[in-house]
Amino acid sequence: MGARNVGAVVKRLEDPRLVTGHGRYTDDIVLPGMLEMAFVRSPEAHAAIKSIDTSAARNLAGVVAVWTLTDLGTIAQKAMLQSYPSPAIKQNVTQHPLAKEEVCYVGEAIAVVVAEDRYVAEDAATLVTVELESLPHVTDVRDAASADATPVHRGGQNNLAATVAWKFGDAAAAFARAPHVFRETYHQHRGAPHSIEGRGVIAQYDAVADQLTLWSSTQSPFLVRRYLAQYLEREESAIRVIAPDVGGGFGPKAGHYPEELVAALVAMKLSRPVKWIEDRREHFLTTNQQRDQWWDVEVACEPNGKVLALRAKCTHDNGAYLPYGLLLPMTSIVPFPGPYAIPAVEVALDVILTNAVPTSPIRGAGRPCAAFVLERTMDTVARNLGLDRADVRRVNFVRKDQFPYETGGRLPDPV
Amino acid sequence: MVMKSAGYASFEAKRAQAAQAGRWIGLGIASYNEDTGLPPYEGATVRVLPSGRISVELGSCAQGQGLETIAAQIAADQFDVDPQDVIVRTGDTAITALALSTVGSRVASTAGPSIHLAATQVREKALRLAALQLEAAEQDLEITRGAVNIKGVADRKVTLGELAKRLVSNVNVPLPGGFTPGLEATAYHTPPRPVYANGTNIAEVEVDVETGMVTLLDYRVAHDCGTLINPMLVEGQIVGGVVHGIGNALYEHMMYDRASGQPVTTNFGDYLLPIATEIPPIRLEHMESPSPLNPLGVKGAGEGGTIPGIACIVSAVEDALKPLGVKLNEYPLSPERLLALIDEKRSAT
Repeated sequence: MGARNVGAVVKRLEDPRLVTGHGRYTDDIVLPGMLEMAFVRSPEAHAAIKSIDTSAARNLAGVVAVWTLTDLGTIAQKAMLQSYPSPAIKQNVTQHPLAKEEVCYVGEAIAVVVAEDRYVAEDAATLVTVELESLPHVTDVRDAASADATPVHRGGQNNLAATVAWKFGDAAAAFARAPHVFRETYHQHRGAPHSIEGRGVIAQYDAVADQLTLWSSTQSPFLVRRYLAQYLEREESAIRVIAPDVGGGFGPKAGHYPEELVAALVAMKLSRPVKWIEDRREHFLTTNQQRDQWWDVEVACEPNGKVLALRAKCTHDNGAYLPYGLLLPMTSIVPFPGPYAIPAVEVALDVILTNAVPTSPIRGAGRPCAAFVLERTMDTVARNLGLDRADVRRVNFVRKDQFPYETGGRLPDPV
Repeated sequence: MVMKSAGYASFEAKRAQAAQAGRWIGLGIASYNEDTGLPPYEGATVRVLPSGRISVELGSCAQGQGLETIAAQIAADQFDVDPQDVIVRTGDTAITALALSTVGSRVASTAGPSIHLAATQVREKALRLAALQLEAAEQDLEITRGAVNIKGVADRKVTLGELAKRLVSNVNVPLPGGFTPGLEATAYHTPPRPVYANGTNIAEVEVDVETGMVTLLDYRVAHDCGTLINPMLVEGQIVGGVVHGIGNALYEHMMYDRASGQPVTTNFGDYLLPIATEIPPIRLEHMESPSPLNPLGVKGAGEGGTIPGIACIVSAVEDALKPLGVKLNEYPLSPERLLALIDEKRSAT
């Protein structure tokens, strides 16, 4: 015997179950007495909440509860926990389970409707009247980064959530003596994850055992349990989180979300199981997205394309909140200089708040952004010097005799 | 390697030939390295059940990658059974082994080695107990199809199920000397640092300069994610990753209206995802340099297709438009945007 199976093409053991319709995704789970939730969400990019009238919604047949943040109790009056704290964070803004006095992006949840089924819950949600007072907003990251920018959060001095810089080698000296210096600006636009299955959660509370169980379409059941325990001030042993079959994640399902907390709080308040399944529109409006980045890049090189130094400044749009610390923007700058042996590198990052959906890593996190900048730079050098693109890469790659080669930046500890 | 198969050296001749037919084709190159298998751990429990079947329990979960399959493959190798005979449970905090998160191309190279370590410990425990029962030295024993036998004597054997039953024992039946209960082990591979995967992609594209439409003609990936646990699943990961890159480079665009602050692409009519008709043949060349940093030699594969994908396609489109001198410092490259850039160059000349 030996490695008979490792290395072999073995058909997916999951498939007979999944392709015959026997998968069990969160929405396939139906518990006795289970209620369903729908959310009233902000139609505005930035507004103050003046009043919320839930009376008409509460009177609809089949509606069990219509709640705002105040109704969720004292435990829910604090902001959500930062998943990845970092000393580099200057403005550690996270959401509340439901909006508190202010909404900062289109889609932010304001109230929750709990009903016998989703149809009733959705109908009731349209009957909730929210009086909003529009506030100035900013969704373009360059606007938000400017000196006289509109604050994304009321009372904010500026929109700079974090700033990070790191370097190695002597870039200043290299630029001073380099025969060629080229400058370019790059723009990488916002994208979204779009797993086939959106987010979804079921919460069940057993009051006798004081046991909370969540089924969540998540990439991180242990972390969801950790965040729930800390936020709800419960022991981890009193919470069980199960990821049933999950139809794609791509990163944004790694974090924790307001809807998971609301589901837990509702299930505990009502002692009835409750389900929320994200629809596609909500996925567009509330599930973490990625980037929008502007990069200013300077490269110093020899006539043969050998890069002597690289300076890059990234302005990153993190959306309205920092649900996932700095992981997405940090993974955009830490991979430098990628597969290339560039002796001097200076990279700087500004993480900017905007009135848009928060961002967090999606497949590759910031690495595709870093690769884009590095590879565009190699092509720029080739184009400007009239060199072959492959040759420019060959003179810059880490050579075989340089291995093992220490590459990339070091994340501050903890990131 | 991939430069040769993509025909890099002879591409200028191909371009000239295409140009004669009024076609604008280009080749893009992009390379990457990736810190995969991020620390610190994803645990695994491997257990021989009284029935003799092998159970693997992981706190980690999958979202379609095939984690159950590779978990079964890794465990099966220690007991000479088929992966189909291994029962895999994942993604539940009620599972003993601690876990963190399925992100960053890390589970195959963190949970994978943990499964290997746990299975190896269970195998060693089974051999130690079987040596007692068969009155033989451990080094004279082997595991064949889920049973321990004396090498070369197939019928002097004890099944793994019998050994498991002996170690759960019963009230007032002491365990054999020196044994802990259960034919099982929980193990953690705890890497101090990531393992680096790397690769190069080459894309061939054609641009319709009248409409700004980009057609992908060919896409090649040479990559190294260390030991391939299951080449079919790696291929799925890489191809899926490339498709993600294609979407980012050409189609997906989450737009906000600057004046109103409203998101304006909130359905799949406005926010375009690539579908099968947009995807060219994607050909893979696997290079296997086993990592010395874990016992399976594996590195992550989940994101390696996406990381260079955008850069590669944008590079190819710029190359196709080289005669016009169009410079591309952005994405996505919608036909509308590309046409504006093309027209800008044309009107300047």
